[in-house]
Amino acid sequence: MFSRHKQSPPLAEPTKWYVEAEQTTPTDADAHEQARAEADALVEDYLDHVSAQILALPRARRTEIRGEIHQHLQALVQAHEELGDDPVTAAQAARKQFGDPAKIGRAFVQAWRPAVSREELTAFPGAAMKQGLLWFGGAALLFYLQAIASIVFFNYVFWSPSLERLVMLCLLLLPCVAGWQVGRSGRARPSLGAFYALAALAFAFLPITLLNLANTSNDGLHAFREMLSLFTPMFALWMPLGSLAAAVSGARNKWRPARFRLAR
Amino acid sequence: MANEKRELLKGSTPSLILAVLADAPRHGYAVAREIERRTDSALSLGEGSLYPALLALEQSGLVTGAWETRSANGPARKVYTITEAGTAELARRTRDWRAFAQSIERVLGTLGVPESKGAEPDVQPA
Repeated sequence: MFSRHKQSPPLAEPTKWYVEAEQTTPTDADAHEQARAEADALVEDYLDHVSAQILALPRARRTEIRGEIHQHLQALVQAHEELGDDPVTAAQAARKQFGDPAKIGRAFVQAWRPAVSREELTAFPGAAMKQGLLWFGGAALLFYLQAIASIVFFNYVFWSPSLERLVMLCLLLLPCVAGWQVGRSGRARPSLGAFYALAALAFAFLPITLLNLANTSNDGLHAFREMLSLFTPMFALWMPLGSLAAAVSGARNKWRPARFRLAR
Repeated sequence: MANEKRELLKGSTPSLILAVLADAPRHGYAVAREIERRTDSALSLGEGSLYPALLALEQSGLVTGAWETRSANGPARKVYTITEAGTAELARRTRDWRAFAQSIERVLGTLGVPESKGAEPDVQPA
């Protein structure tokens, strides 16, 4: 006590002395605060790693899981501290006790997905096939009507080049709309969405193909050439466009988790 | 051996959780501590694996989770409660486990517990 008085500076500058003393000799409380901050950072880092693995889950569920794990980790840290560990060692021990965050994140996704898959399997075929047949069938019908109209009404007044361009644009957009609708109702992964779009396309052309083959006035080679000339633009344009649209639309289902929830 | 034990525990985790929740609703940390207490720490469940298992049980409708606040300033905790379906599932799992354990016991029970001879195997491969 006396020695501190001897070392103390003149009374004129008490504030400066205090500040210097605080800066040069950190107290235990400061060190503890620093350790606490470091421990919190370790916990947050762990939570970030888990959160990065569970992006497939809805935001609300992710927040809930993060909060739950956070509380559990904090309780573990506290338990380790009560056993005599400093905050950083306690946080490290809690992290170790909790396990590999990547593995836990994957387990969360696996636990979440079966419910989605079950509903996908039950809800997919009917709705998607109906949508597929409706849209692609309608599109195919319009395509043939356009082909007939361009031949039959070519010399008529109302069939103008601008109208033809409009029809062609619609025909270009149709497979995109059809694929998008199939993907939406399919509630499926992109690959499944694309598959069903293709399957629906094949179904849509089946009656037309059969009618063409059954036409006895055509010889076989003529019917084949005619079909090929109509199929080529469809398969070259419609299938990739329709499948891509279905795939993108199907992929968006992943981010619409509310639709996947099981009815309780 | 450690791997076998881990696999066995992994498969039994939902049963253990359901059994612990059958007594009283608990939050995740309490479930882990209760399993540890009942098994005298012989089965230390990976704390991290507990929550995916709880999520799977919740998805299956075997447990329900609800956030509860203990006090005005205290943090909210998600408390899990076993449902009727969960109780039925626990009964089924318990029955299956007992039948399985009895079958194993009938085979292993005919053998005496061999004395350990260290790393030396009892029977040398031909």
